[in-house]
Amino acid sequence: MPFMGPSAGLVFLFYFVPVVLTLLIAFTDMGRALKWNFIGFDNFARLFGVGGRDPFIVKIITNTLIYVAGALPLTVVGGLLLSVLSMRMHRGVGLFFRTVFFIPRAIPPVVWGFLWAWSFEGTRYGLFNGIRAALGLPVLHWLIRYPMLIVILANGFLGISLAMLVFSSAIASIPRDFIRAAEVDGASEWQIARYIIVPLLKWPILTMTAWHLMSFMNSYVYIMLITGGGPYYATEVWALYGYHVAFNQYRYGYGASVMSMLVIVNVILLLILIRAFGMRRMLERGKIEV
Amino acid sequence: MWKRVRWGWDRAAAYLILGAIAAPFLAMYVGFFLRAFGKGMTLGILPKEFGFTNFRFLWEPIAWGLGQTTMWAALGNTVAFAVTSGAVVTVVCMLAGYALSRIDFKGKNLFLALQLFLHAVPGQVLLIAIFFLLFYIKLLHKIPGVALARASLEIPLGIWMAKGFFDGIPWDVERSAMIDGCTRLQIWYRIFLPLVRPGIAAVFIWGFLFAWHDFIYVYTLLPGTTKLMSTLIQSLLATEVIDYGYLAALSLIYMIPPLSLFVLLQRALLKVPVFGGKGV
Amino acid sequence: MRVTLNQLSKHFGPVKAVDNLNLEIGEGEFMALLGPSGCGKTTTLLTIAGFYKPTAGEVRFNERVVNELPPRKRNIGMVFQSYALYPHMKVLDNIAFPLKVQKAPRHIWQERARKVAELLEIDDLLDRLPGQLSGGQQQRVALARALVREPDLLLLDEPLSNLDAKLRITMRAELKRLQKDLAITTIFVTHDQVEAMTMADRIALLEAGRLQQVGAPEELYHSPVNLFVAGFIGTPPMNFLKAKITEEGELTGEGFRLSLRKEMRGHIAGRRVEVIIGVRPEHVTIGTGETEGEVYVVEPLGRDVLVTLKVGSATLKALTRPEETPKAGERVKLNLLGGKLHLFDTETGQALLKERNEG
Repeated sequence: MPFMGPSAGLVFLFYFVPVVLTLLIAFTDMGRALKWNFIGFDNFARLFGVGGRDPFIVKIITNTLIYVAGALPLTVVGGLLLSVLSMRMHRGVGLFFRTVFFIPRAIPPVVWGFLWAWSFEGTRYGLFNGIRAALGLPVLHWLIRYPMLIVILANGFLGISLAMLVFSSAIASIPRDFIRAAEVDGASEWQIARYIIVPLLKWPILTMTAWHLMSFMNSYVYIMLITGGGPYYATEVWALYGYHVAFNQYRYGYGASVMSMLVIVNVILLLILIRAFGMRRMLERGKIEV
Repeated sequence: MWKRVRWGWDRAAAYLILGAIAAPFLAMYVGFFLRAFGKGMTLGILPKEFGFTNFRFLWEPIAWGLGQTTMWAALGNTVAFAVTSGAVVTVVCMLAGYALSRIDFKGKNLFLALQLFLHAVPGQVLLIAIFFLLFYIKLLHKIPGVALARASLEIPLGIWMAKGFFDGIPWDVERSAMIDGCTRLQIWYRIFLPLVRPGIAAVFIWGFLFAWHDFIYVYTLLPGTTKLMSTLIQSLLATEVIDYGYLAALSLIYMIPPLSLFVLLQRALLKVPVFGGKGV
Repeated sequence: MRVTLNQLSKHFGPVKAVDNLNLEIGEGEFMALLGPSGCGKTTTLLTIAGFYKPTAGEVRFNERVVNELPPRKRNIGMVFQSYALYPHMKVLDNIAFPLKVQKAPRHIWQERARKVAELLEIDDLLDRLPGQLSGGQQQRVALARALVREPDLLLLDEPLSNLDAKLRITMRAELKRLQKDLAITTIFVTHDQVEAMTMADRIALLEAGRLQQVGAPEELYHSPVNLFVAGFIGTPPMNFLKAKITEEGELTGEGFRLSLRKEMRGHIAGRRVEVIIGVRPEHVTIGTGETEGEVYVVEPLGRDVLVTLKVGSATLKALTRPEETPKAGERVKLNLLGGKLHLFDTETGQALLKERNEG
């Protein structure tokens, strides 16, 4: 049917085929010349340390875990904090703050990367160092000494943009009477937040956590833009490593095996999530049978 | 009789906390603007003088590494890329959205569920395979090919959006058109599309925006000599000595077109048709 | 064009929306599909139009079986309850649309559209958008669009439901006149029995997907074949009382005893003892008679007065002239045999005989 053809075709071509291809390529030794031979599980063996392990793997796995463990809570808790606070204050001011924190998502990734790279530049030409210099403080080499922190912050606040939006609209739909009742009962702002608002946000919290878990597992673009994975693999996460191996070292086969692991983990996580959350049924029976 | 204290430490704390967290960001945003229009910095954030020298790429070519190009070339490429991608997304999703909204066919439920599923498998992870795929079908290093690949990433959600818009049209209007002699395709083209103009604008902006902002696909799949705004900025960022003001100005120019597009399409986005009669 | 429905059934899963419907609509006839919500009348209409495929049975246009024919090839015109005008097109374009789809040349569709518009007296609205029209005007536009291609069949789905009361009465007469002038076979669906009675040549009364009775309005009114038809047709509705037939040939119930004439006794099929009596309010006279009742409520309707009476534990309604209005609480004598008396089987609801009773 002409209606579904194009979308089915494109989805097949650029989603399914690549998933399969990634797995296939992982079993080859494809290199710069884009010629390949099957080498069985050799690539995967290297990953797991059988017969000569990849020396960087441990560091990379550690990095990835630290990164996700840092960015995920930052996003969810930060988003929660920001939305709860901003929704309870004066309307205009709250909106102002939410706008400030939404901007990361509204601007191009390169610009966000640029902002962070500039702000934390190691010389006094960087934004924050410039301010420090003006205050008479010595310059800090942020990107060299705290690269993981910077990267976690940059991505975390990006996640906050979305989380804050979702939580805010959820809060907006809480009937005012609940809150008024609590106020009458003498609860403080903090208590209202803790005992009324947050519990009612259980569902959005779960979805945002799941969503961002997958997002952070796979993300590498911002890290690439800000630190490039450095200094010297300090911020190299799994996905970035896969990319570098393939496109900087021209070892497509090995790179594909790295990415394949990610794809597999994604699929498994997704299946678990679908089981846990059930499927939404937004389908209406057709009223024309022609 | 008790007085409720509205302005206690409770409320103030909120403002303070948010203010503290927002402060560095505000510094970044404001600094960004100032830097674009300023020359020479003092106090880290305030320029010594103001001027337009940072915008000289508007009339000078840009050099980086081993190559050279003009901002206009990069802008042109970006426009071509984003418009193509946006157009593909719009056409494909408008077609599929109609079918999913109105026609019962085998595998419809499966397809819809699939879309949700696919949205979770991120395109950036599949880059290696797509690189190889495009190479194989000879579309690598070419804007149309990469635009097509990029568009495919937005299609799953675009279809849901389109379907939502089509769902809002009463069944009777469609039945009427069938009585009047239209085939499904004619109904789609003559009746539904004019009625979901806001939807078309929304889907186009969606596809356009993601393509306009894209970096990783463009960076990986297009040759180093074909620059788009995003890759141009990145290559300048990767040099030894960075002129931040210059980059800030470039970034500003980069961000303007989507904003103007949005403003332009505002009117289209807000038009909602009246369907006549009082029932559905 | 004649339309024939042969053993037509339409099921949606376990739900039988239309069950074994047999109906013939003659050339140029104005047929009403009448019934309460959910009776299957709209489903039938949509099947005739071709939007639904029959689960069983067939739909014929003249001699031809059209089950598989898509709507756009059936050459029919249809007006929906919501009118379904194309909001983005002007009235002229809306009306001309069927012709435009057939790729008729511009001067032709323009002319024909204007002619139909004139016929329906909306030729001054041709440049407007549907959103700028009143309900009545929209309805005319929808009608014009349905008629512009001179279809073989006209289908109307609750065409008057969305109009205000006064407009409805005007349009009833106009539609009836229009149909006669154009002589197009017309089927229209309604839940309003007054509409059906006033406009249609024949009425097909449906309930739960089944045809209850089909015939001219007078037939359904005076000779209902079952309890449902009797109760549905006529406003105010028919009175129903439980009764027993005694050995002496009398009908007895709570608070009343009626004697049946000898000829009638013979007509009662079988030896039924318990029956349901049906009497229309206008056939209940107050003043004299065998039955006694107490006036419960008096509702003046202007031209008539609706009196609610209690007979034993049953309630009865009677229509009297304003001059003869009793007072609430009065005990009065009633004559139930002043007009037709209907008898119905308690179990099946079927009519047992037609009675004409001269009081």
